[in-house]
Amino acid sequence: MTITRDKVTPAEPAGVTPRTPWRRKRAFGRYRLAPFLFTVVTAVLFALFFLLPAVLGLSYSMTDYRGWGDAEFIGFANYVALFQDSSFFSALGRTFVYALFSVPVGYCLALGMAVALQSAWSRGKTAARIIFFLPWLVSPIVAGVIWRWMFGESFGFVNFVIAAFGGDSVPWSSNADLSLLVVIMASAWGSAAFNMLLFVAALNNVPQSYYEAASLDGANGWQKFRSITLPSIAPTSLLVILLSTLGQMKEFAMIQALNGGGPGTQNRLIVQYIYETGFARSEIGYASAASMVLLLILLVIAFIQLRIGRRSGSTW
Amino acid sequence: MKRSRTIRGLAVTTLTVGALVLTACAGSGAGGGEGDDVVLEMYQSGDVNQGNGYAQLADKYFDETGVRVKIIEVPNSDLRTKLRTAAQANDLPALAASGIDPAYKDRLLDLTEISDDAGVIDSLRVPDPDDGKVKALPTTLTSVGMFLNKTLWDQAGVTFPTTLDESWTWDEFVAKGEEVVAKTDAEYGSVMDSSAHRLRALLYEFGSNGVTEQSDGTWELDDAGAEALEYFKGMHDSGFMPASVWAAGDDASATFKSGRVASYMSGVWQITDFQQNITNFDWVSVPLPQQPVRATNYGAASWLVAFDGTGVEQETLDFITWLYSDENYREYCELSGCLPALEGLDVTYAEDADAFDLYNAEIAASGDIAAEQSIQGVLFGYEGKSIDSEPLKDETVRYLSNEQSLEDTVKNINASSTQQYAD
Repeated sequence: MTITRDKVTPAEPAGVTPRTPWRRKRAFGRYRLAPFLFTVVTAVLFALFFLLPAVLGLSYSMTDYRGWGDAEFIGFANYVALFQDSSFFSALGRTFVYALFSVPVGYCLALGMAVALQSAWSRGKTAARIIFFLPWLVSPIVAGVIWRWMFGESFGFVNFVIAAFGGDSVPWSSNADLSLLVVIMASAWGSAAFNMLLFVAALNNVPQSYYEAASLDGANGWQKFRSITLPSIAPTSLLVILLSTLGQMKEFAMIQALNGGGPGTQNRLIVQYIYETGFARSEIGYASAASMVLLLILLVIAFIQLRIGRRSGSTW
Repeated sequence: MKRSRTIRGLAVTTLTVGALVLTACAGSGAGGGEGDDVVLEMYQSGDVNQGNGYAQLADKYFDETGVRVKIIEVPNSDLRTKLRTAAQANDLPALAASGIDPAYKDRLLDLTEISDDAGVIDSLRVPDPDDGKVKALPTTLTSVGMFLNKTLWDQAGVTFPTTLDESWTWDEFVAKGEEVVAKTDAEYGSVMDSSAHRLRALLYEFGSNGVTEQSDGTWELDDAGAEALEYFKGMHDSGFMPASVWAAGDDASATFKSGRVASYMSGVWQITDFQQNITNFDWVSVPLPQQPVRATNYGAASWLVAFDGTGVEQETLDFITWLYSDENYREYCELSGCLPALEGLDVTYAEDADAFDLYNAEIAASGDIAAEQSIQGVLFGYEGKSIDSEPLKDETVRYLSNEQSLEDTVKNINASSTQQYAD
């Protein structure tokens, strides 16, 4: 990573070169057709792979479609059943708990790593960068399997170490809260690298002169961090929190590989619930209704966070 | 001018490439046979041994007849979805080892003649109640059984029955298993695959008939079944069985292979795997415990079906006839290490013939109920019922992880089963 501390210099203004008379002639080609052609590709892909499935999902959610055969229109019956389904609410509740803990943990870990890498006193930065970045290269399924091995209840590495020091083995998989704790740690571990990159970029853009001025005023490290660093990287913080919240609400692959939503169904997250009803039980209509509710929840979360961001005057 | 043309050219190229990619995506997949060469596609899902067995026979068939059979491995969890979608898109393969699903139950070829000529064992000859035709053939026989880590048991000096002349109850089995754990560095007394198939064998051994249809059309688990579930939970609560296998999806087979579990309740298909993959201890197949009923849970490993409307129906039937001839079927069983589903067929296994004999004897000693689950699955298919989950397993998992009481577990098993199975 070669990130310079120089301030970004604005690009050379286009007006330096003298305007030529033939510029007007090609206006159509340059500013209407080409942008149109470029957006057409995106628009087609968007329509084909997002809009169409979304509309299909919405229409399935009002049918009793089972993945084959005919789909019968049943209005909002799926939604009514969904709001009376205790396992839907327990999955949703567990997802909120998971996001509530994993987002702050992931945020602090990523910020801590970025600050450590930026600090003038830290040593071995190159090695640290590689080590910090490695988890990001690991697929969530593999990450889940690694953590499953480490925290295996019967023959896991961590329990082996605990036992070697004379402790009792810890029920990492059969205790619901401990099991969720492992998932939270694994997700923080897996996603920290990407957020760290965002923070490193943000930290680089904080003007050094602020810190110098604060030093002259006698501020200590913590004061500088609280009063200069944090406010300066607020837009990035918002971005990281927004992206992580949405990401954690949609967690699936890693937890599926780690504990399968167990013990029992106590840690089943909402996307796992949708997957199980949709694919294991073939209730496509019902699962689509649950997906639509999740979509709505995610939209609300994004909307609230953007409002908060706008009010605090940060843009990104 | 030049720049604008470049941009336009770029845009057109992007569009063309994009369009080409999309069309390529749309027009994939060919049906059963096309052109002069007949290719029969066969979907199957199973472990390496089963897949290899079919692949080797397919090569042999090609050498003998010039007809190529393409074995397509599909993960078990995707097989049903894949065939359903294929049925809807009118793109079914020639045949599949998959069982019957409502999505394609009306598009199956009649296999009655092949079934009768080959001599499929009586308990697994399942005709469609509507027209009396057999439309699914058992691939091989599969059965639940108990494995012990012989090294641990010998080390602890604990004895165990080896033939069906001897027997042990679950109480005796647990007591002996605990003794092994106490005297060796074993961590657990036993482990069982997280599956309704294995759990049913336990229920049968407790004298239960599992979840059955009642006179009023509902489905219910009997009292002996509830008692077995309670016993099963007891084995988990006492630490005799690892909680993480059923509750959190740990791999039971890997847990046994660690060498620190005294016994493993699984099935006959493990034998070939154990022969190859267990080197650090000796294992042995022993009779299942009984409380007081001697029973296993056996049935078809899978059901072979052939599809109508593929354009290669006759070739498909020819292949199945060939596959179920004594010679080829025996070869398949020997290659894959499976029990034959054909009457009176003698298979010589290169290794561990005793273990295979024990399974055969246990199947013979089991009552009619022991094949019920397998047959019921086919009948549900014929009747157009789609069975997508296993209430018995799902609710038991919740019971084991203390999410619900035994009473609620039984109530939920009954309710979900009735919802799925009742007419």
